[in-house]
Amino acid sequence: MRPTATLRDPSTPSGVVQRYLVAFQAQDIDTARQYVSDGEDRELCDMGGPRNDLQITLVREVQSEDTSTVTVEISYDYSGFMSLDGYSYPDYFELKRAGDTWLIEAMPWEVGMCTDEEMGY
Amino acid sequence: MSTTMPSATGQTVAALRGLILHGLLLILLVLFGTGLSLLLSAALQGFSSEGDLYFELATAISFTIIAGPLAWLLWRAVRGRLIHASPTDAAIWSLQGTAVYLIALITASTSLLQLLAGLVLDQPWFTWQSPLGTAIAWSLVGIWQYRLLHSPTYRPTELPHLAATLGNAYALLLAAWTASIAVSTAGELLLKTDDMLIGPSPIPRMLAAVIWAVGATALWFWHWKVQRVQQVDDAFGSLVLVLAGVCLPALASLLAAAAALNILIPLPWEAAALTARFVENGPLTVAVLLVATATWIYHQAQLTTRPAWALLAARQVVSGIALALLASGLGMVVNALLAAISSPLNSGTAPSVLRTGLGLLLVGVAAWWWFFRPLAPADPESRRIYLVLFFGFSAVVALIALLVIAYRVVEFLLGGTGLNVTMVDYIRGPVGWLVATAAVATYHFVLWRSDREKLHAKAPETDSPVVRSATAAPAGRTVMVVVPAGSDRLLSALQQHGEVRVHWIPAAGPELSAEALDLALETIGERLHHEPGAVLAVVNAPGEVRFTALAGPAESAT
Repeated sequence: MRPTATLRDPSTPSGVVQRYLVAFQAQDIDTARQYVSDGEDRELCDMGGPRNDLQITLVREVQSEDTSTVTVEISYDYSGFMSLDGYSYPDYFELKRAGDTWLIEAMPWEVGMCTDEEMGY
Repeated sequence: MSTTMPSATGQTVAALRGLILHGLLLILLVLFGTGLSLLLSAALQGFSSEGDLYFELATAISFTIIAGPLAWLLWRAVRGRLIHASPTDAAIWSLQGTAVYLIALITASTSLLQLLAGLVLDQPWFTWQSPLGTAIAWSLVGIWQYRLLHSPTYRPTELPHLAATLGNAYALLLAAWTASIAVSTAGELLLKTDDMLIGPSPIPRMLAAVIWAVGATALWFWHWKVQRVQQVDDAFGSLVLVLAGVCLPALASLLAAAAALNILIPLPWEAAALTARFVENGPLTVAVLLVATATWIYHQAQLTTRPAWALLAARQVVSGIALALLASGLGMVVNALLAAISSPLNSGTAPSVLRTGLGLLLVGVAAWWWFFRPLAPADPESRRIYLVLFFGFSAVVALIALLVIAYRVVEFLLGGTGLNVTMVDYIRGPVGWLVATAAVATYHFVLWRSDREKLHAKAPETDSPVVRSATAAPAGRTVMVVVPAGSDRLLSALQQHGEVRVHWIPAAGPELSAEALDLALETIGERLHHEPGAVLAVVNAPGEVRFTALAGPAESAT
């Protein structure tokens, strides 16, 4: 639940993703919006909020001049018979450069913020 | 006839009655346990469940008040018959008691461990009431049943250790599995820390795994040492020990060893790929290797106190497992080599298939060499079942491989694949299986042939010595030597004489001197050299020999 990992450099794509996720997990929507492009138009895609057994690890960070793709592994410590097994899958954040920092363009829906259009309103 | 028929029918009816009564008792006890655990869970929640409270309560109360008293009445009805029970009744009672005990043990232990692990895991949907209720209810049922199975009055005379033996096997497997997960989680904790963006601390996860492992190990220890399953050396106990204590851990350790090689074999030759493989699969591989090997070695050592067949059976099953790994590995290596020659597009799959195949092949060969001992002389009798089972199994694999190859070739020729692949690429998998099976089966066929020859040569020797030999000797001629005890030197020297079957008829009298034996040997040797046919040789004290020619098999038959 608490971020046990140390915070990364805020000027890197993964640092932005991490700060966004920390705010998202804390349900601090206003802070989370700052890291997303057109953040003010967005709401949580999944109104239920994050599960506290959500774990996201960084797999790869690919960066070009203006865009970056951050590959992450999303895993849940899903409580089955043993309370030990979980499931995980890779997903991506896409970012674009905004001055000396980065803004998130696209993200996995479980931890995502959607525009009204994306929500189907 | 009038006396035997009713008693046979009576026995059948009695057995059937026992089966039905104890079957009903089993069902009633399971219903009672289920009802009681639901009732306790609901009570612990203060009858304010978020779910369908009425449904839960109705089920709980009806199961408890119907099944509970009925089970008690039924138990009172059957218990009188258990005091001097017939073997059949005793066996049925033991089976029923064991079934109740195992169901209760598994349900109660997993609920309790889930409860304890849930307390440290802090998951949002976790409630302590339900696992606690289940654990208490099933513990009561299990303890009651266990006490009856071990009470001096009702203790079953047949299969008395069944419940403890199977409970021990369950606890052992649970302990080994959870201990592997605990070690593996600890390994992950060491390896993966810096790339986490957000997530719960992994410490509770490891604690939960440790709780499971410690609980399961305590349960195993209680069965193994306190309930003395270790000392139960009946046939069933030894069989369960061989299967759960030796064969399953052996399978797990060999697979883990193959997985470790899969990580370590440098194909492709890149350090980064090796590190990535280690981070992904290393912790679990190392954990299973450690735990399974420790379990295996411990129980292998325990086998020395068991009957000799247990050790032999364990060795044969392990060599069978090793052989299966060897053949699978060989098949995968063939598959990978075909992939490499058929198309350059396979560059991604081929190394991983080749790595897995090589890992299985190396581990399989090593374990098979160690346990099957192909070079050591083996007793052909002892491995006949092994070879027969092996041929049956390889016939099935070969048949499936052939069917798949034929299907794919026809499909390919008809153009039904819709894929842009070569024929070799399309059938390389099953060709790998077929080649591996054929290679392994050929070796065993040669072994089987030589074993059969040995058995044929050996069979007559085991017949009773004097009476059958004259008629049963297929080759060579019979020499019957009448000589006092202590003449082994003479007899064994005669046996070296080629094409001669020596039978000794002990004569009364003192041992012969060395000179007398030498003289007798010389005389008999001369006679054998000059005259064909079976002969009776009576040796007297100075070493002189009197001969009587015996009728051969053909003559005696007429």
